[in-house]
Amino acid sequence: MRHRGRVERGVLIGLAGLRWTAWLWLAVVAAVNLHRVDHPELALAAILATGAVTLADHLALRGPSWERAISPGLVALEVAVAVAVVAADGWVRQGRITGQTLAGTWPLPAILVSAVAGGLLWGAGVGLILSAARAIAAIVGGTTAGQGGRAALAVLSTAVSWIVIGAVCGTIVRLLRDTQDQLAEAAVRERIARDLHDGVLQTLALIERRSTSPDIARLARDQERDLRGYLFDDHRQPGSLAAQLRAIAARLERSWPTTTVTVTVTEDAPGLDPDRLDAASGAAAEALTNAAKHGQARHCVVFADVDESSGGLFLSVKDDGSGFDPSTVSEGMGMARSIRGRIERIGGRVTFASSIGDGAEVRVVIPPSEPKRRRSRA
Amino acid sequence: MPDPTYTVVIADDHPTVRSGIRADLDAPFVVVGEAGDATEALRLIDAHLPDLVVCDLNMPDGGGLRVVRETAARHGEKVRVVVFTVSEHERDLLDAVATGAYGYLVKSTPGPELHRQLLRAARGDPPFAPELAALLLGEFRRVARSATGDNPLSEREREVLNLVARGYTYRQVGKELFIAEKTVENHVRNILGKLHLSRRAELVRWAADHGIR
Repeated sequence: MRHRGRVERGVLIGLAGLRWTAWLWLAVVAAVNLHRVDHPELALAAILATGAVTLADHLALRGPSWERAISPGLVALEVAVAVAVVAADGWVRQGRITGQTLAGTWPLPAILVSAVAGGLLWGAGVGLILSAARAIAAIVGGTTAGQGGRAALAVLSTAVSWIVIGAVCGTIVRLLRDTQDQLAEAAVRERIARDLHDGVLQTLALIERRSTSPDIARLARDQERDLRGYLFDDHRQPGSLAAQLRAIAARLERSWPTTTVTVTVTEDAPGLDPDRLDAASGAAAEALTNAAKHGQARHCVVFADVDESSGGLFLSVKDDGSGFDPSTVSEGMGMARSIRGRIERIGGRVTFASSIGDGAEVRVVIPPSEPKRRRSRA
Repeated sequence: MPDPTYTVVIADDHPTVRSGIRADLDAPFVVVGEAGDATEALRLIDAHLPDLVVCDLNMPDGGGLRVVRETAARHGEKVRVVVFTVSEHERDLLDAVATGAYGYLVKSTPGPELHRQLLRAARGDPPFAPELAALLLGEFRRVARSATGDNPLSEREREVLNLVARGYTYRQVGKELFIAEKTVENHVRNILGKLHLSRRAELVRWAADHGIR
């Protein structure tokens, strides 16, 4: 069975509104003209019958089992009543006397609902049947002398529009439904892919945790990092800061097997132009290498976020290594000078924080690429 | 004086992961049960009232989220659920913490570190990794940008969160901000409390917007 969903329901709710409007028009016009038409009892019956169907369709749409609104029985009932009311105008002759046919636009939802229920052919078919009823009404009702051609033309134009409307509506609903099915399928596929990947991530994490061979553990960690980057950061551009920092972290872990690196980039971290990106990742790489090489750090954290005061980038590389006394070594150290050089060239600021035995942190602030285009955070 | 022991229930749908965790949890931990799905986990938790639950997020029967939510509802602070997951970037993680998870650890955490972190959790210090702090920074900014306008966090709490996200230990955060380590722990607990509140308010708003009850 086809999946029926929001598309159909939305269309049907719209149709219910249209049906009520059309019925109100039909009822008022018929009631006002009751004293002038040929068979007022038929006109009254038409008001009641169309009203009953309008109400029934409305009630059918309520609640979770709304699909009964397009059940064959209800659709057939609406079409039958529409045909009867359209044809009845031949006897009531409201159309001839007042210029307003008895049925008015009330049959239109019958065509549309058939199209929703059965597609193009049903829509066009019901349009055709109603056109036939309209022709019967015109023939039975007769025409004033000399107006025959005009009446025939009116019947023909109504017929064409009803058939076309049925066909078009059927086609559109079919297209919408196909799109909806495709979306649902894609969502299912994505969920399956995620579940599969989750299994792989679990396995890699387990290998990392349990493996007695550092090489195998490292390989698993590399793979896990790659897969995770792909799974959870695919909204970011390749070559983004997050991707660059992750690659740098993986490289460091390969060269210094006793050091692990955690990389976190918040969703507010601003995008960088290539120059600033190079400077930021270069600084991070140097800070990490220094932490592993001179600080004998076991664990490092690389953190990137928006710098709230400037709208630029805040980048920090923190380690749990041996640390240093910033007052004595900051300028003399090659690492410090080199990082400062990279960052100040692009207008950024660097600070070093450390105390002996308590790790070190390199903090970098890079101003936004174009101050005017600072991302708005309304 | 004998050292206290801590009872643990392990919930994960991968048996190898469970046995791996069990292998890492020697004294003072006592593993009192293993569950492969949420229903079984909740049954074991009700039966044993363990000190700690180490719980995966992706599990059959409603997953770790259900375990976290129902354990918090039934046993409150008595049973601490630590989420043990492979995916720190998922919204699920935030939801888990918001619904009452005590803390979270990533699955690649090496054995000795896992032991150390869980011991801290058992003694009342929530495992709160830099990744989670970074996620929370973003989350609270989002709350601040949305209708309510104000950042629910105080200036001090934001500083704490920022330093934790940068990899500072609680001791180092205390040193940096000239406050006691215990005060830092209190700030972290308050931050988690505010996350619970803001997420709950958001859920209510979302439900109202979508015509649910």
